[in-house]
Amino acid sequence: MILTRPGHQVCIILFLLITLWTRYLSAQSTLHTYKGKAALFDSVSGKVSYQYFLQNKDTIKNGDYLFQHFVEYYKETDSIHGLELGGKFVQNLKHGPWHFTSKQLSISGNVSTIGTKIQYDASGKELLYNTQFQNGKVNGPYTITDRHIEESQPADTQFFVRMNYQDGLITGSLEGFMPGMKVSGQFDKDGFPDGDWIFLHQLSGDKSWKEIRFYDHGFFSRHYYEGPNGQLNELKHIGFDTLIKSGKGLLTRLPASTAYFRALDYSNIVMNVSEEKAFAGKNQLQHYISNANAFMQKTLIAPEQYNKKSVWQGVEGSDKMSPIRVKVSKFSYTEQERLLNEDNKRILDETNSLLYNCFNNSNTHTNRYINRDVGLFYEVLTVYSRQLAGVAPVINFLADSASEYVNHYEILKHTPITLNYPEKLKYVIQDTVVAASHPFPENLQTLTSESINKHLNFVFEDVRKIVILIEKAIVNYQAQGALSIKEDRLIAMKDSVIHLFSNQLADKKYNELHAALKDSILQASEHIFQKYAQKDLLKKLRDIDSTYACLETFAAAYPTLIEYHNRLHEIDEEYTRSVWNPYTYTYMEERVKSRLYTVFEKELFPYFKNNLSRALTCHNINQKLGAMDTLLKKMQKLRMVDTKELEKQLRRKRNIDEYLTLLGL
Amino acid sequence: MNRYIYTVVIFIITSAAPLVYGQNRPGKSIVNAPTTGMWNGFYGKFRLTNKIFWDAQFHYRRVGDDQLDYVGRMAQIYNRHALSYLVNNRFSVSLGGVLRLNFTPEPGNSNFRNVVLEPRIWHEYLFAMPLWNSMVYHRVRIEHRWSVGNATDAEWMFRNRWRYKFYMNIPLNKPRLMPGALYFTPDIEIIMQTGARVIDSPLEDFRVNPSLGYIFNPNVKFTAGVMYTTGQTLSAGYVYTSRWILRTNLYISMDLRKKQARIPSTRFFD
Repeated sequence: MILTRPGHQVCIILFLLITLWTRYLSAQSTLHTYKGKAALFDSVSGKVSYQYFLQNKDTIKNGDYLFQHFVEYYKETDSIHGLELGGKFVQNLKHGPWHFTSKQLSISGNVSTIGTKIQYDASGKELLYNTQFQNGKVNGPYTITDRHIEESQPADTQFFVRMNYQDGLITGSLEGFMPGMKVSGQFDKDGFPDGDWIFLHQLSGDKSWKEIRFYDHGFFSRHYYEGPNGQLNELKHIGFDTLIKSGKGLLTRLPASTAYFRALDYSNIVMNVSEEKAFAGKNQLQHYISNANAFMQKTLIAPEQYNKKSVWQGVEGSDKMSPIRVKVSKFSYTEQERLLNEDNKRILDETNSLLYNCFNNSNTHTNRYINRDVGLFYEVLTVYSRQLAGVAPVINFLADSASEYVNHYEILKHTPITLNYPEKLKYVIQDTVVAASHPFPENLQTLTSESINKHLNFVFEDVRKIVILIEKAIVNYQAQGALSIKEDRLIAMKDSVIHLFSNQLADKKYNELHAALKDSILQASEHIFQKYAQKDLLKKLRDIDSTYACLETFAAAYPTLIEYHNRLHEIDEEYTRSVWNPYTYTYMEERVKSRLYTVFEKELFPYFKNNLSRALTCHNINQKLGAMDTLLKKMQKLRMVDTKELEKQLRRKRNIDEYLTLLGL
Repeated sequence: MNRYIYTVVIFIITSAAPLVYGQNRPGKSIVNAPTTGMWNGFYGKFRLTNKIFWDAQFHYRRVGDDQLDYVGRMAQIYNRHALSYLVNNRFSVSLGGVLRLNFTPEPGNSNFRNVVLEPRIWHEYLFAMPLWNSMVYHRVRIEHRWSVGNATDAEWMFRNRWRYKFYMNIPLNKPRLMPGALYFTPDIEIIMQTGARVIDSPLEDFRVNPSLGYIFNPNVKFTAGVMYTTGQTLSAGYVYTSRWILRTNLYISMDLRKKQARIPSTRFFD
């Protein structure tokens, strides 16, 4: 009953309002500021400061936000790289002006102080994004500036664009600037480029050239330029469909991408010859158009991106910006065509890789003038390389996804590329020009994915085989060359062994030991050489060094035997005593330790000498010579020691093994 | 007076003796029939020090008789010893003694003693010199001998012998004298004698003694040869002996020095 009275109702309403307002006021009064470390894009660490309040234990950003990241590179470049993202939040949503800047600055100019702070002028580069947010959506002017800074003042502007966003969608007019070009355009209410887009290219002096692109609600339908008399002249793009004007139906809507602009580049521009001359040729015209394309790419393709990341998404609080879209006719490939195009690109790359490796092998170049095979194949590969270079743009074009946005058939029709192979090849071998033929593939007259594929497969296989043949020829030739030198040495060594042990040189030092070993060594040498000579090239390469070493071992035995012979004389002298004969009044020599010496002379030395020549190979000759050496050393040693007991034991005749045992051999 | 007469008589006798003797001297020399003999010698030289050798020789000599030539009966046994001093490699001197046993010329005859002794003192001077690959030797030997005949009434006599021998060693199958060498020795010796009893036979013996030798090793060698000798007989100088003697000799040398002493000196000029 009480609540029905009007006065009471007013009180209740006032009570509720006051309660709510009080709660709001209490909430508003606990605004905090956070200053600390944070990460932008989850990877760029820096310092952040923002204002916030707590609501139900949640942090609600509200107020100024500033993130800064600076890296000093004093040692490397004496510069500072910095990122800064700043703006305002309202209830966790970006609201108001926001900016993102990337700076690369170096200290330059004079130093000054502000209060107790030291200040330097700086020079470098600055990339600046400015926009307005409204409740988390881009709304308002949007500018991108890329400029040079000189002594803390803006100097050259490399890129500038001003656009407008409304509720997250680009709309309205656009202004832009790049060195040598000014741009103006507009977008329709749906965010498509629309109407005339004017590109004013600065020519030499005060002259300029006006390029006009007409977009029909996103569809690039006309391309003009203004002539010297103000007339509009159309630029036709072969392959780039500009016929459909409605912007509906068969057109494909897609975000502006690099593929879209590549498609534009692929289309051939057709214009009158006289007009071409006005631009000093088609290439100059293409240059201006490419400039314009570059501006459009920078502007339309992800205008919020920095290093492939959206600058505004580094911190939450805003919607992702919608991509700027365009409309284009799509000339889709069939699945088979797509696979063929990809295959063609792969085959082209692999073939080029083979050619590159072959041409960059120094051995190819050093052998092509002396080796017939290499010379001919080199010419063949050169032909292939030239042909592939000619057809590569087509293959790359067809494999590019952008080619679906142009009428690739039309473009190929207007592409004057054919692959014709010569019937005869000429190459030079040792200053002589030689002509030869090679089974090239059939000439390629029509350019389709299928015909190109067939042709490329043939070329790839042929190149692959040729590369293998060239490598083999080079290896064989080099191997043969290296082998020839080595074989000369081998034969010389063999002859040396023969001359030494046959005493063809009438060496005074040739002795009985050489004579004893002569037949065995000559036989072994001949056997080794014959075994080597019967091998094929690869085995010869493998074995020539060991064969040479073997013969060298035999040759090295010659001076060893001279030494042994000398030592035999020494032993003979050591075991000889000079005695005065009182009857003849002369000194006479008598053998000391005669039994021992007799065993050495009659039994042991002949045994070891025979052993030297028995079953002699280069692997055991050193061992046999070592045994002889041991015997000689033993005899020399026994001369100096008491051998009474030994001589007693040598009184009776024994077999060779007993003698060896007695002497410890 | 008696003394005077005795002296004249003696004078006449002695003056006449040569006439009488001269009336018995033949007009030419007489060479006795050749006799034969065989001499086997053992020569030992033992080195005592670097310079001193003990020279020991033993000879066994036989002569031919009516039944058997060369070795019919015993003739002499020699023992000759001396100490030799090697002055250098080309000259040595020796001094020693000899005791010779002379056997009876007529075994069984009681008028002859079976064995008589003959002592001697001898000294020798040996010169050696190389000649190409051979050696040439000049040996001067002087002996002082006391001898007596085997006859029972024989009297002692003293004589001096003056001997000069020239011989060579010529290697035949080796480049020099060395073990294994066969060598040839041309050898001639002349032996003169003096003494009271040597009246007209100063030439005791002239020997030509070629031989062949073989050197087994520096310590052992062997020779064999034939010697012809001729000389004047003591009783009558016009009567000459003539002998053919087979000779064999064994030569042995030994070094009796301690081993350390045997290290030969360095011979720079070999």
